[in-house]
Amino acid sequence: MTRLTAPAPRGASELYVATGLDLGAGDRLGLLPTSYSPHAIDDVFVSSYDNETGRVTVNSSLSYYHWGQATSTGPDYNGLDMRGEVLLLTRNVKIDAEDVESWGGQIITGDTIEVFDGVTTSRAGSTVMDNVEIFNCSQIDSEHAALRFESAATAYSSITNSTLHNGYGWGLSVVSSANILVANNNLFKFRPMGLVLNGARNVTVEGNVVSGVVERETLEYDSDHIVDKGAGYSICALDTTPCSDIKVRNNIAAGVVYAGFVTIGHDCGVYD
Amino acid sequence: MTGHRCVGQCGEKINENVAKEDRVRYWNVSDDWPAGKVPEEGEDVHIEPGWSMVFNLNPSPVYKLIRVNGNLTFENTTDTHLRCKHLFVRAGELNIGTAEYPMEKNARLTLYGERNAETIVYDNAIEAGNKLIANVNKVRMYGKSRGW
Repeated sequence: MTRLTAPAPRGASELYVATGLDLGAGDRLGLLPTSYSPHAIDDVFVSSYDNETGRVTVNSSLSYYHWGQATSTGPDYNGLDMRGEVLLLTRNVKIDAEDVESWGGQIITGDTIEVFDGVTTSRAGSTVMDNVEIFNCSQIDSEHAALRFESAATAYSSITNSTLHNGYGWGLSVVSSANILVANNNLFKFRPMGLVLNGARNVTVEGNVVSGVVERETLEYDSDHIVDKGAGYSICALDTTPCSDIKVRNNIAAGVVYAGFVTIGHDCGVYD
Repeated sequence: MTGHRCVGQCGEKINENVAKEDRVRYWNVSDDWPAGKVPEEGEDVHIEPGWSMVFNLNPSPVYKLIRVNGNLTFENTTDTHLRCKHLFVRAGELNIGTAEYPMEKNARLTLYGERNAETIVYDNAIEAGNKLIANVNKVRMYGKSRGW
């Protein structure tokens, strides 16, 4: 992730970021909101990048204004840098899906037990991805996230330095699973959940950016008009299934319609 | 979308007690397949136990189901593109790059299918669905670091 080093006005087709980046024509960028509107994101492709000035030209005009300046606002706002985030979404290892009926692909990791002729075989799913790009994945109006860990409770898995973007439903889910590291990833444009933990154990979520998580437009509210649940990060908040040994540190939520982070509370003095 | 369950055990019995072959098979080599030809559009593909198969097509036909019970590795010296409806890593491994040597070329895996496409069931406790990579063993993918 980098940040805008100058304001990028609506309608512009250039922007300024740090110098000396590994960035070139064809790379895909996500620009996160700096206004009150969670919908104010831009999704563009790089036409050119000047390594010495940080000037980036993009293939289309920006739909929204994004604020930036040369230096961080951290010293003035208790460490908070308010400059617009710019995400690099492109990787050379890609998993994607044919775009049909907003029904994307999915990657699911789990454990299973097989019994043939009285012989039992246990299988433990383990997925390690580093610098992988996943797009056009997740399935609309379902809990089928682009990347799912479901009953993967035995082996170790890690998702690092990867990008998940332009999905139709949830981004990444860890359900009834354990021993997983989710670190330094960019999740961009999902609905209505970005990253979901439920019934998880020994899971670390650190250094990620979840953005562009908006309301779904297809599923009708029921007759009681119950508000659809949504969150950038839903940490053990879907139901009462317990979680344990969960670490959530140094993550960013930006451009999320409902809430950046949702988790269960506890009574004062209760730490179990 | 319709959920499905297996009657009895999901999947078919496989013989995993085979020695690992001392050679490498290449996807584009007809003689490296039991049928004597490279798998074609719409076919099921089986990477059998003991095999070390290198995928090297760009792009492949769209396969129906790829079952990985041996070792499937993506070629690291050329761009590759694997296309299928389902990919099931069961007793084998899927490897793209390694931690020491991340993939240098472009590797792409595209899933196909519509909402009501046939679903895959590998465990009755999990609603896997369709258009998926399902992994109950080992998947390793390492792309090139972009540094930021």
